[in-house]
Amino acid sequence: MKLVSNFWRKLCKPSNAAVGVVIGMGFVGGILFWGAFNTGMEATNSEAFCASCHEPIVNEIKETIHYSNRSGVRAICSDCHVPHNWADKIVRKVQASKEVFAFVMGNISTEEKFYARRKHLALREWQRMKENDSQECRNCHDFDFMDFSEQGQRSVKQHSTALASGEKTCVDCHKGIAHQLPDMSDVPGWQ
Amino acid sequence: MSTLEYIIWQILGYSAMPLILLIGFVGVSVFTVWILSLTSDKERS
Repeated sequence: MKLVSNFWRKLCKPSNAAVGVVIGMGFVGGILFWGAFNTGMEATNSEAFCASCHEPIVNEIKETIHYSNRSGVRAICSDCHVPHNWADKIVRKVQASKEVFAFVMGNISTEEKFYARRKHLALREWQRMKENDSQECRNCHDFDFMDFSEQGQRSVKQHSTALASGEKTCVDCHKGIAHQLPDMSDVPGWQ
Repeated sequence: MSTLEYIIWQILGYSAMPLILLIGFVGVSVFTVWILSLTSDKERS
């Protein structure tokens, strides 16, 4: 308590240092804090970080077009599972603290436990993506620039009607595009 | 996620933002005051 009151007293008194020095220290300190904060945010967006808990499904993406393809563009976990704009990203990171707690409690500490919970985790993620209109898909896939002449008949039919009207969103149909599907019984549209 | 759970996490998420900025301010203040107390403000009580 004495430490806090001492600090507060110092904070309220003018310093002997020049105003430029004080402002400069605040400016540099601000840059360092923001740099460190963003470095931390980026570290928790890395594939290695995700794999530290979700290794079985991180490996599954290696079999999909989002990992290896003719153009060499690839997506990592955070591209699809973390919002890209700053405010939504912070909200998602705070929500993820619950997931860290679940991991610490051992909810998915073994591969068996993980696969047992897989459907529950998938349903939550699909619901999240449905609620934000598949925003993470749309960060790369822009409907306005889709060339229907390059798509198959079924894709053209669905994209030009259900997707165009907003009746459906990407994840309604494109489930399991980067991971194996869990048991899909009783998932709407997958009978 | 239930509606209640959704609302709770949204509130926690959005309230984290000013908290982050506040923590940054406090962190920089502590560091600056400490550095100044070792240099220009050393002789002050």
